[in-house]
Amino acid sequence: MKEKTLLISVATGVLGILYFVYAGITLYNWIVGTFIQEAGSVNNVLGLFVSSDPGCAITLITVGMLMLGSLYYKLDDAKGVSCIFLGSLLGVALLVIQLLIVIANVASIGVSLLSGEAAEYVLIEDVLRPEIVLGVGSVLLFSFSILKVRQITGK
Amino acid sequence: MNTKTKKGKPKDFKKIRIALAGNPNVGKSVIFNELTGGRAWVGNWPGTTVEKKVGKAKIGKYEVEVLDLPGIYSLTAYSLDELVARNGIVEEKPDVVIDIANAANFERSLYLTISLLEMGVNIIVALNMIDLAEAQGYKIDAEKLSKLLQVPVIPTIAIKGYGLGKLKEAVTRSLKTRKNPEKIVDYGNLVEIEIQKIEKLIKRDTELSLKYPPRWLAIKLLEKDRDVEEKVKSSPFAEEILKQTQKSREILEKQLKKDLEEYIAEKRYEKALEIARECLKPIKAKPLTLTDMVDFVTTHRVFGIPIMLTMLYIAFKFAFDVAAPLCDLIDWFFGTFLYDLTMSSTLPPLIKSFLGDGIITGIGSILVFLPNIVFLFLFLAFLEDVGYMARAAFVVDKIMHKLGLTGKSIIPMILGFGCNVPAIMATRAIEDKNDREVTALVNPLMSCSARLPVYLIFAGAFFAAYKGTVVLSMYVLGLILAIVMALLFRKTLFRGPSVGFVMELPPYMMPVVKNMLIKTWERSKRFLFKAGTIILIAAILIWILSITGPSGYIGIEALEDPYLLEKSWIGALGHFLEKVFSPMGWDWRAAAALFFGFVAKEVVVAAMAMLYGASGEEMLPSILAGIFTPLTAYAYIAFVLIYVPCLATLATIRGELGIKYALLALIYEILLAYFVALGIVFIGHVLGIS
Amino acid sequence: MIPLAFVREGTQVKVIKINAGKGLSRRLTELGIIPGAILKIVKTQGPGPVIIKVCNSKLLFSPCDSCTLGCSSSYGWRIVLSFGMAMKILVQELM
Repeated sequence: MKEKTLLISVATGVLGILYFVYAGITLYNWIVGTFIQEAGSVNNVLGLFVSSDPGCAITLITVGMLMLGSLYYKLDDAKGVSCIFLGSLLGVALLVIQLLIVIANVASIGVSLLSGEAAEYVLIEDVLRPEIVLGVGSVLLFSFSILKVRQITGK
Repeated sequence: MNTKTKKGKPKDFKKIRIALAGNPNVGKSVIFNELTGGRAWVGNWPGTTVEKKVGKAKIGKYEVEVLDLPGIYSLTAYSLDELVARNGIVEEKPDVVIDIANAANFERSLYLTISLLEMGVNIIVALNMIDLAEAQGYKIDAEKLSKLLQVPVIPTIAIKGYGLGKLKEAVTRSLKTRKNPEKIVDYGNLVEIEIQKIEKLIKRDTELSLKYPPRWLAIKLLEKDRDVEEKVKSSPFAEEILKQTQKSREILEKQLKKDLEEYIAEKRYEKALEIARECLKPIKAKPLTLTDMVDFVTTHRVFGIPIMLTMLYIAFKFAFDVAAPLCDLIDWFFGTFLYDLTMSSTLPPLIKSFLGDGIITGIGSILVFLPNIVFLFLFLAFLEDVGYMARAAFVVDKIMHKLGLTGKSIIPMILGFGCNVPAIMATRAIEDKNDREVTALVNPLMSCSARLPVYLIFAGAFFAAYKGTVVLSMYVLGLILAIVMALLFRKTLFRGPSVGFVMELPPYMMPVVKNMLIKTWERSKRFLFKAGTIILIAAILIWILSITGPSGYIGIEALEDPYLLEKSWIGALGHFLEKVFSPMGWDWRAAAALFFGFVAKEVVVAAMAMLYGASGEEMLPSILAGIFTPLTAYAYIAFVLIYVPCLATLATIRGELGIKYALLALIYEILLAYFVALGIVFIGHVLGIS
Repeated sequence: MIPLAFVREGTQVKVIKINAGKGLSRRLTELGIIPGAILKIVKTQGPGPVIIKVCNSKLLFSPCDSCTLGCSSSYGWRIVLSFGMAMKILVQELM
């Protein structure tokens, strides 16, 4: 059991750091795009497309914070479990929203076809994103955290 | 159709009425929806802004009217909600009142139960949320409770539908009984003696004694209940009763050495505790609940605010990006499909224009936003029902205070991004009068969805690459101005320390989808109403004012020909306003379009399209580029953001706060808008941009 | 006897006096905050709103035990009090 927790702790740490990294890149993109005209924005890191939306950066930071926070409070303590529970839950939420957005974008193409307009959509750009890929990691951590929560609340 | 029941009373002729009472957050709406299927008529209690919800239910073989009373903690005359509920029970005379108690917060619910019994109301207690109580480690003996209170007690889990059948049965059985008020709380010998003295005098007024239980009146008089004092004043025995009351109060306050009202309230609460103690049975105590764990994070010093911002972000992504295809669909339906259909029909040109350019374009331009609004409200309803919103209010309270607002202002502020009308109605939840008024007054600065098309058109025309940022800057500007105005108001017109709030943090729960949908629908309905009536009228009005003028009827060609348009009423209006806006460099058409935005801001773009002779809104950007400069364009959209709440919003402010506040909103916003726009142009010139 | 606003997180207190006007006291009474009530401070962050849990001692259960997260297992919901309110409730710390 102890090794399992250690393994999960490492996974949490890595994932948390990744969230932070992508948040940072997003912020950089935003600053560069808004205030400094010439420099280009970093759009593709490690195969994932990164946006320049500051709001998105905040959400990625939040998830990263909670994941690293769970390590600070230790994963076998109720406080740590609370952090990973909510952190991974938010990660999953971001994943879901991004998927919904993809579906919505596809639907929009459908609507523009109705009015006879041609439209283009690069699906892959909206799918290979940190919210989705890291989000998969969040899903795994979430299932782990649910087990721990059940343990603690004795359900 | 049977005309007599077993006891020989012709019940089908008399309307059967029941009422639902209970603390806030106990599941009253759930039970209401379960009984009525969500069919409700919502209005206001006469002369107040308190919501009155009435529905119809089938209980047993009766068609019953169900009255949903406001959520209250007790029956004093201090809070409007409580007064309304109290008078509601007396005026509407429900045959049975279902008192919904929260098993997970038992003694507090009992406080209200006891108050109701003292008032002589025929109640049934629905003991709700027994599953939560068990999760928290205890069980309630419903039978014992029933014996102690001498009323039926039905355990329920409303969300799961458990116990509702038995509840309905209990209602039918109770229809045939009349509860006699007893002495439920013993206030101690000293007080009891005085109560009896007053009671004796009251009993002499037979009419009064029939309407209200004498003992209850006596106790309330001793509690200095203003409302009861008024009711007693109209009795022929008023003088003696009130004199005795005064004497009794003096005697008791001297003997008890304590404030009489406090003493009575405490005694009542002690009774609630006593009953609770007798009926509560601890089972295995659970060490920790999920709510505790999640709250550790959501109210955390460090994590709290980022989590709140994340929720906000998700709300907007959901409301705008995910709803987008539906908006496009509606836009296509009205703008292309219906419009083309109308224009290619064989109706006379005037009618075609009226339908096409007037009605279809008008309505279409607002309905385009319906998906955004519905999705936003849906997500907010989700957050509210899950229980998160209370935590969000806690987390932002400190900051909000520094900005002249309160934590509870956060919900109206967020709703305002969808539509200001339901947002201002949501300020009812704020207890402090000053806080409430300030929140409502600055709410129109929250950029509602109606202003979006104006931003988008201008941003697209002048700031193509930075479109997103420009639009974002409008939202931010609105926020900043709201904060500035809130602080200003708080320091001047609405001075005074915040009275402070008390807010419950209910346990987190899986929201019931049905209730979420009902809540969302009720809020979206307000927006639709505004679209359906006011904007429709505005669209027709613009149309009429465009094809007629000081010199008479011009003809629908004016809609296509800007030269003709100049001769219309709209042209006249525009030229008049042009002088006012000359420092900003806006021509008469832009000024005229603003006038229409007063009715509904969505209309500004349509008005501009018509005024500039753009045959479609796609042409507008290129035309605008010739009239505005980036600087004057930015000033223009800032003006649209700030000036004047739209007509529907004004009407709402008037409804909630009164006409003085509506006028205040109107005036301060026009002035603010003018100066900000002026300021933008001025600063721009100083910086050398133009 | 100190105002509730100044009590540290995690402490259990007994309400001694409430310095509020009629309306406010009544509101507090309805929520179970009366002289003699036992409260636990769940969260307090400097000058600002306070989260408390009402654990009335008049009931069977002993007041909440300490636990890793702060008040739990209890009976009674949490209530948020604004800073102003918390200043008006005078309490005495227990143990």
